[in-house]
Amino acid sequence: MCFSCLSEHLAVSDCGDKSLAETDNEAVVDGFFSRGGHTNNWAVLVCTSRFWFNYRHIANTLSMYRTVKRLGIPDSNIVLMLADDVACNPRNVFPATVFNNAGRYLDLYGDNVEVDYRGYEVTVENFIRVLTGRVAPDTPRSKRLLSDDRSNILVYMTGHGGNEFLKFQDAEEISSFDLADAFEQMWEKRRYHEILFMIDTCQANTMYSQIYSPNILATGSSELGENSYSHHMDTDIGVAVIDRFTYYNLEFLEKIDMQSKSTLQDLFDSYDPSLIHSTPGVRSDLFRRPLDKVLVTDFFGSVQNVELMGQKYNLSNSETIIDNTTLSPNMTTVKEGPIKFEKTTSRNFHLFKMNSRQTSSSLPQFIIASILFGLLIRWVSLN
Amino acid sequence: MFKNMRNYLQSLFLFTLVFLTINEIIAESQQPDKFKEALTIKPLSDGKLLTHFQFSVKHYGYKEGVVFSHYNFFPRAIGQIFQTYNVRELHLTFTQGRWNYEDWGYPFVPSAGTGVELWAWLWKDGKLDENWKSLTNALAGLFCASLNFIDDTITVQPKLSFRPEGPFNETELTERAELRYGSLPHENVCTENLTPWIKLLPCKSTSGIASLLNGHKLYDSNFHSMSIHVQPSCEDPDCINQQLEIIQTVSTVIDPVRNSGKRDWSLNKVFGRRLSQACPLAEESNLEIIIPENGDYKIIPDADDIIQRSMGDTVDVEKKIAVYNLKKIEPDTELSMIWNEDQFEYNFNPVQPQIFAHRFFTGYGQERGGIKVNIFNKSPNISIPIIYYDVIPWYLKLYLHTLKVQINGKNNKLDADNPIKDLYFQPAVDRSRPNVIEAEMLLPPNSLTTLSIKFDKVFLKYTEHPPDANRGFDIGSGVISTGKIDDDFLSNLTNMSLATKKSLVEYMHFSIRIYTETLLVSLPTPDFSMPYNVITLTCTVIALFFGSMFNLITRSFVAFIDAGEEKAKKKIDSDESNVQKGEERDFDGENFDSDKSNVQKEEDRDFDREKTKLEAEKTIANN
Amino acid sequence: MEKVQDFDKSRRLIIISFWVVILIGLPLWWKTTEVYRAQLPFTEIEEWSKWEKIQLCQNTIQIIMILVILNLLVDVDSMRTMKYSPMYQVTFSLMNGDPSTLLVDWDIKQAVVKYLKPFVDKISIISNLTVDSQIQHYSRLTFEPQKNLHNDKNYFYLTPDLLPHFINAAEWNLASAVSSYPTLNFILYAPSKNQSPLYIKDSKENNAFLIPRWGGVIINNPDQSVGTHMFTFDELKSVMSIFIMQLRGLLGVQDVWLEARSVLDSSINVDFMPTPNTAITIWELDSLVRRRIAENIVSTISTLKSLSQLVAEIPNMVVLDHIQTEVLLFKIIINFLHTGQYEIALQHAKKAIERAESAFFDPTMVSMLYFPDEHKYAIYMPLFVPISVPLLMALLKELKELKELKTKNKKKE
Repeated sequence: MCFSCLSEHLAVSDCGDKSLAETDNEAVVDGFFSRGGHTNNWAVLVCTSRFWFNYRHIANTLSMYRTVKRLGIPDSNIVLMLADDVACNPRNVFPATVFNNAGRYLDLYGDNVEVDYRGYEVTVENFIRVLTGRVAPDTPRSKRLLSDDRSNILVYMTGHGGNEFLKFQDAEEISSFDLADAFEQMWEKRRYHEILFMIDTCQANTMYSQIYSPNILATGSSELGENSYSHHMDTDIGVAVIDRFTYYNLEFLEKIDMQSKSTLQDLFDSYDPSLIHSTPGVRSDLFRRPLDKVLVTDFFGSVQNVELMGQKYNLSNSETIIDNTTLSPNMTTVKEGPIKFEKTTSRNFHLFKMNSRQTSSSLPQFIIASILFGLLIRWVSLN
Repeated sequence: MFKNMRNYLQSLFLFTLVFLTINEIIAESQQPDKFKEALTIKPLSDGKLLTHFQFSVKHYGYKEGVVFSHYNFFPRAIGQIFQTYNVRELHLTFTQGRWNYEDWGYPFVPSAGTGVELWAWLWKDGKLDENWKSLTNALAGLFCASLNFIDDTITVQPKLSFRPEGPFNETELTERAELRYGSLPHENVCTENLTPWIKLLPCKSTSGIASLLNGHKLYDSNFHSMSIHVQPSCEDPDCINQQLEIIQTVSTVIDPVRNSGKRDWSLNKVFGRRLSQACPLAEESNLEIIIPENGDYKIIPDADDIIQRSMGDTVDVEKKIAVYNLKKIEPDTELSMIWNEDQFEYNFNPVQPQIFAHRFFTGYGQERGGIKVNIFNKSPNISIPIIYYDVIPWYLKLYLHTLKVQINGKNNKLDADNPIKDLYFQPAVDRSRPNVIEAEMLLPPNSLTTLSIKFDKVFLKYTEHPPDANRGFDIGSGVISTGKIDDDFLSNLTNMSLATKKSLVEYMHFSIRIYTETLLVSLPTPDFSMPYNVITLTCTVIALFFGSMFNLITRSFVAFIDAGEEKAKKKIDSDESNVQKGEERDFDGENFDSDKSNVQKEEDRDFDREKTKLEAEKTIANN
Repeated sequence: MEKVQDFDKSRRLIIISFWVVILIGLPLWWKTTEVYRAQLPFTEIEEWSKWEKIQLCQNTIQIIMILVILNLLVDVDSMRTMKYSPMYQVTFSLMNGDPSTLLVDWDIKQAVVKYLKPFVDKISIISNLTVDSQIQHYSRLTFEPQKNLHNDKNYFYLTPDLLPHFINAAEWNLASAVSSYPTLNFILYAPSKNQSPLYIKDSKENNAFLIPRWGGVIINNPDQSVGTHMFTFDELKSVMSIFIMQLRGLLGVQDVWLEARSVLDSSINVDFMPTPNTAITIWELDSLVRRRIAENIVSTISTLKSLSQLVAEIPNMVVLDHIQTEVLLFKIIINFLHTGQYEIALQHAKKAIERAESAFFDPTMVSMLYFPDEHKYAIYMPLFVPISVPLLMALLKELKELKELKTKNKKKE
């Protein structure tokens, strides 16, 4: 590449040139980490309650887990924290199952569940470490939040809470200030693109009142001074199986599939305080985009771009390969022949066609190469 | 022409070389991985059913120190963990429930105590402890269990127990590898542990016997234990070519009598699923039913083959086994066993195994207690050597001088009769390492040997209690290691001198481990709900103390008497002194003197008071 | 009289000594209960983040930085390329849809050694790649492909909008158990017999696609009639050549001719020789090196800036000494960049980003939990108020007496 040509082109010649200084340094550093759309999704689902009578909190969290898995977020991108085990609890009449409905339609535990933090590991410290990324060096991959600046993260918490605090396992508390600081640290290190913070506890809306980092949307189940209630009980299991706020969220989310165009505004509009028996709240002042433009699958589902890229790099043992940089579609040595299809266009999927190359094969060169190769092996094994 | 000849010879030479190299390449290419699976079903004497799944993958061409990174049947996750952390042998078991040795005999593979048990032989490479820590963390992430809690306060290095299961050379082993053991008795086992375990199998749960593994039935059983063992193995006696073998087992004890009152079972009833086709990747895929010796029963369909094999108890006894080759079986075949009886009647005199043990707490209260282990040797005339191994956490302070051994209830006085031949004891260091007892014992025939030791309970710090503190703390099971009793062993036993310490260990091939129960101890717990009350109470006490002390040292106490009282007192005093003078003969001079001094003191005080009064008046006058 | 005077004196001494203890103890207690915060060079970090202050007399690096920034306008590349990491785990997986109808195996070890190793060696100056492989059986898709008829034979196809959901992450074991470094997964998928042959609709691209920042997939339809299929070394050559192209894209290697084409005049016709052995030309490697140096420097500076901002914002955050050393080391690294060989510059840039990341993500930098002021009052008041009241009263009384004594003495005179 011709640097002098380029330098004329860009009007920069030597070091210390002040034209460089004219660019806004903030924009330069920021633009480097451009925030376009998001490219991957993460979910951090936390149940902070222990003991059998808090079965419904575990059921809440597992319902959200099932929903995000169904909508496409893989297990490797979900950090699931359950403070107690109710599925294999000796009190559970239906072993290895967790239900969120008295009719027991759906077993939330199923055959394929991955709980990353369980039992005594669910602590305030571990939760903040997961969010900020400051985990111990030996922490396995499944227990880390490996998000980047293009990740949309869903943070869902449920348990017992109060005015600006949330109880963890009946032994400690996390305050709204700690949560706000954790989000700020994530923002500083560009660990998220956007966050949806959802919380279902008593006086939940106070928990997000102290957040001050940008691009965070928060929703909670009840206002200051209000309790959040459970929905219904299963008489065979003996305890309540789901909370109201989560129940009505799930009613909406069950109708969503991976291609759905429903927006978060629709979700929030579906909240009915008379059914939920408390006033759910939404905090969107820190969120850049208007809520009627944000898809539900932006947070609950997973987006994955795909590039059709099948051209080959010319690998050969011989030195005398001539390359033809033609732009015609290749005829490859792969078994099946290409079949003519009609062009299709798709919406949420980027197609990047790259120019293809041509390969050549020649038999005599191959034989000579293999003989030489055999000789080389023999020589090496003899020495 | 000569040139042509030369060229021809050269090309011939090249071709032969090529052929030879090709042959060599083929010879050096290793054997592919082999996968075998088997399901063994054994009806137990108390009407329950033991089902044992065993999957084994052998990876050929394994060389110590040579990293292999291309995986086929051998699971990549385990291979990576095994090689990254320089492990020689790895054994991990997840168990819930208690194996009832008296009624069920011995399990097919040594089961473990409730919770998670992890032990591994690691190569000494300078960072063995870091490798152990990273190993526990990596396994915690893989199996969704909190194995990362196995830290220094739990990790132990047993000296006599837990010898490697694979082939080993004793001297080489002590020089180059070390053993680490850790167990978490409170760890729960559920579907999230089973799922990654099944994913390690080549056929996963789609075909083969793994398709019968149903969490809903597995976790509804009386006892279930899931384990993974990775160890080197040899197929030839000289062990020139080593292989790396991974054995995955699941053992469950199910109770068909609970639901129907009868011992009848079928695959569908037991597992809730039907047997699909055999795993196409398996070299052998068998279902075995161990035929009960007596009883009127029928097994449908008929077995492909009936063989005899020894079952791995302490005594070598062969049993008849009905074998079904799953590769030839029709898919969805229903296998069932029907007993000809209306209702199952419990056998109140089961045949007891040779060795079994029970462990329990003694004592009462929150200050101190004791642990007792009853080890039974039911063989009528053989003394069996065992190794008893126990890890007690640091918060129970054991006192070694209280270790007592009793045989059949009697204390033994003479050293020669002492069943303990060797004893390793590691005292605990608070918050740093646990107590370890390892005793090499010789159990007399037909006896009950009792080991007991006393401990003090520690008062834990506020933050060291778990969130559900009133539940208590779990103590992991004690392990008794023993081996097979066969003719070889018996002759060695009589020949060797019992005075030499290592002899017992050398002669034993440990493959049988007996686990005692896990225990639950409650330590004194504070009241967690009242930290502010505690603060206020303490502060009140301190404030009162401070206040009183401060006043005492900075203030002088002056008795204040006004004029009227003074006169009255003086009069009383003079009266008293008159009386006293009269009774002087009867009383000691002291009284009189003290009386006098009282009057004197009073007078001094009066004088002082008057003095200060005068001074005060003076100052007022001056102002 | 003397008794009283002695008593007064001792009383005064006692009160004074209590107050002396309080006056010394209070600042001591404050100091010892402070959060340990080592000093960070805030001003220097501030300076570095200002672009013009970096006197990089490296013409080319600065230009590359601009180029990098301009190149980022091309979203495709930035969205496809993995974030820089000193190590990547590359995993080749052969996925077999149904082993009951087809058993597969492949000679991947030889293929990796022959085709990939030279590339890995060349790239190792930028990042290390560890390579392993596995074969997974019963790898089902999450959806059913659509069926069609062509020349009397059934074939199955996937429309491109289904491709994002191709990877069945729940059932396929793809994650690495030991490393937290980014993983690049390359999957060779052999569909089951009842979904064979499987094509990607509208694909002139060898049935292969790339998932940005994740890896690549090739769908291969081997002959199902025999029951087993061994992907030989030769067959794997074409497979590996596609994978290598995808790997280059994921690591950020930009085709030389593509770049040149965009810059050079269209009338100039240049033929570029690919390197069949190492799969990366010197120019491509050089350009990647420079780009990574630039990226690393910018990202280090931004990390340090975030670190300093956070430490300033959150007063309760512990900052241990080794964080300070990490930051100070960056100064040394910047100095090295002035001298100017690329390899050393790259090594130092690598070290810089590693150290900055480890400083930022150090496990000790978890801030103390929020402690509300009311709680602080509630804890300290019951202790200090009952103690301070008698002390204060005593002090006041002493002062009053002293005053009285002074006036008395004055009056005397």
